[in-house]
Amino acid sequence: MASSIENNNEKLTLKSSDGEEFLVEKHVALQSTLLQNMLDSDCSSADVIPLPKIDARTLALVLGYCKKHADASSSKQGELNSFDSEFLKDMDMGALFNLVLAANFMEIKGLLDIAAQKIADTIKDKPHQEVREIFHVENDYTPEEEAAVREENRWAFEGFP
Amino acid sequence: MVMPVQAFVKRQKVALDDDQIDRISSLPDELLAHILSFLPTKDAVKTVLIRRFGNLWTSIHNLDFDECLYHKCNGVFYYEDRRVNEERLINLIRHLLILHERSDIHRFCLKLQLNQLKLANEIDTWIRFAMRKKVKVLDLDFKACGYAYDSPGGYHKLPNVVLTSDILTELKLAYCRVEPGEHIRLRSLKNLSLEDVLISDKTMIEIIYGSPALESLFLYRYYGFHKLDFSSCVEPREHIQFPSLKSLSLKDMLISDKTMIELISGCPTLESLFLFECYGFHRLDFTSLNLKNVVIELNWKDSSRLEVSCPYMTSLNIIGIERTDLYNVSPVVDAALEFDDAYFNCARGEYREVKLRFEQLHDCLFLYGCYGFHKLDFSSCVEPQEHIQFRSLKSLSLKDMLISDKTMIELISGCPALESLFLFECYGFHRLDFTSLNLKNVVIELNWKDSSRLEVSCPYVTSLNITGIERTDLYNVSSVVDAALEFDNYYFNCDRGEYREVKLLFEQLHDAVTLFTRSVLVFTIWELTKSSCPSMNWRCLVLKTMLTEWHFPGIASLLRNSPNLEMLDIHIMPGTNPFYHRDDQWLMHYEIDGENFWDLQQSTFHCLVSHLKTVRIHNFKIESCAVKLVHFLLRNACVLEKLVIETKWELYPYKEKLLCLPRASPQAVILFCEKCYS
Repeated sequence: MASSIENNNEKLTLKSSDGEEFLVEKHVALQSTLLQNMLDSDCSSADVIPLPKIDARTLALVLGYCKKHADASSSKQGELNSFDSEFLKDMDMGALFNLVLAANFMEIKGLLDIAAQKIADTIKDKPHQEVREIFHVENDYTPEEEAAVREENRWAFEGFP
Repeated sequence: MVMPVQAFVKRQKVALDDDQIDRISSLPDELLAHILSFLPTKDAVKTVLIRRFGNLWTSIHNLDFDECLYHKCNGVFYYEDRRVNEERLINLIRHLLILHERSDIHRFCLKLQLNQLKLANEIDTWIRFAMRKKVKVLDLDFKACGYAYDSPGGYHKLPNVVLTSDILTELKLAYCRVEPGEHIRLRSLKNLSLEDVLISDKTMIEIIYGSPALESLFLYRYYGFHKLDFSSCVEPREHIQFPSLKSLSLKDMLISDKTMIELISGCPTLESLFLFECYGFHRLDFTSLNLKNVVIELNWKDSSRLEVSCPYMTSLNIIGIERTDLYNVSPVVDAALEFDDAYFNCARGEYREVKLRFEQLHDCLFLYGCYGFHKLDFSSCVEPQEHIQFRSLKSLSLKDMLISDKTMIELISGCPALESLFLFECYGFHRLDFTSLNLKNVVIELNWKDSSRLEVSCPYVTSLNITGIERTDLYNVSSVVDAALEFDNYYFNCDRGEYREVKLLFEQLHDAVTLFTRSVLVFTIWELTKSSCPSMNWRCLVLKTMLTEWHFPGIASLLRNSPNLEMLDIHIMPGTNPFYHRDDQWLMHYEIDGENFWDLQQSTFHCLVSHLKTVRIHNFKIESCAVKLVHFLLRNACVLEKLVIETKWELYPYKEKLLCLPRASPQAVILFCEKCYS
């Protein structure tokens, strides 16, 4: 592994929205395109990189993911796949949404995709009333408005309730 | 304060915030569209009924049209239904492609059985649509599940535009015809999969030369390419070269020895090779330095022999062939050899060879139905004084093998580095004495029909799993921290004197235990006969059991006698009558008031007062006895943090009622995990 991780000892500090600080090895941080760009453009001269949109709990999860993916060699793809599916298992919706926002903000493509896939899987095959519940959507369309939208897109609902 | 990442993740994992804030209003449009992109397109479109989603479906970057989402692939087929569903899918595609607004798409997938040739022209326009939107992953399958017809209506001719894309990175084709009209150029293509594709040798070579970045190639029933016989190429002196290929999968193909050699030497960077149900070759010589991982799953019916030489390989997996000769296997660290029943039923002279080969394996060995190997009786080897030695083997799996006690002792003493042992459906032994210091993990899944007894002594084992045997005696289990004992239905149908032994056994187990239907009944029997029950140390209890009122006294007894229990995990198995055996009928003379059983419990449950934090119920049903148990636990578990109810059935309106029930623990959270009910 040594060749792929130069400056192995270099570390940087990330600060979450609620003030917790995380010491991260550079090659782990590079999983994030955002951090990579910051490092490339040398914005990292500051001691601490603030991540004002991400709370400590979510950041810890994100960094756990990055560490696994940074440390695994390419030949361990199967191991990474099973790590990914375990990673999101039993995660509640609140945490999952925080995670997808964090992955989007930090530009971590792999994490963004598995989190989005997981959210998609939970709403798949569910009637829209239930999707509203999952997302806690209130004050949505009235029955009349809904009927109008449905009529307008009738082709999308053929054969479906 | 700087916290180490790992520790932090663990600590936070249990935290929960099921806040009721509207989640999607806080997400930006592009992120919502990204999420919708992971739905089947027909479902993504339907989110139009939610105001926040609105027309975001027009911005999705994956378009996934699959005929099979409209029917049950194994279901009864009616021509009329099929026609209607097909019309619906086509209508969906037509509308969607017109309304789709995003300028680029990542993946376009079309699975549609081609039975209307008149549609072919229109399908080409769809493919061109995808190409114009700079698609990276193109997946075209004109067979789908093939549920309606025995053979597909036809092969779809791939439009030229696909074969001249510099953007495409992944191309999967099934039931297509590839007849390019111009020069093939696929500069970015990394993965190519061809299944039942009509293609000439010449075209295939053009594709390979036109795809310099190709890393992975999957060929399945790939007839056209002259059965992968490169020698019949237009220019026979010119060999196929896959300069950057890393992974090659071949399925159901005829490959000659000569071709195989050319293939392997033509793929200098190959790392993984998968051969499924291929035939025609008899020798595999993996001379490539990079090739580390080979999986060979054959289905040869004749008694042909396969020679395999693998000097550089680290992982080797061979299944479904009667006779394999392995050479140069020294670096193989992880091997699974699954031999057919007939293997090794040959002269004894061969055992020595086989032995030598096995001795060279490291790390992991899996033997399945390996009869001839003198039923794993090493003593009958040609040189009886020479014992088998697997000096560095770490994991050994044996399946469906006859093994004597003597052989078992030799085997275990011959594998000093062994860490894990798996015995599946093996027989012939009656005593297992795991004296090795390194052996930590043992799984025994037997299927003994007679009432033989098995003695197991495991002084150093930390994880033990025994299934499917009537009578087991365990000794020296003090180091076992994680045990699952699955007793057969008839277990414990013996005189009551034995309960004492079993009791002693339970007392010695720590940490985590799994008990099954019958084992729970044992506790009921103790409870009803007022036998004293031992006090158990375990912190985690898993019950995989039927749940009837007859199990209530047993569960009550388990709870009462497990003062340190922190986690209770109940998997409810189907069924209502736990009395398999005549000998149990006497239990029925006891009257158990299932309705009020839990309300009448008066003694203290120590674990409920101060330890039980997590309860999980799987397969919960409103009609079942589990309801009473859940109410009791909620009312009495003072430090409960989490109750997880997992179910396949609709719980409404019971759900509301449960959420309103009084809870002894103020911080208890109830989570529902409802799996796919419609």
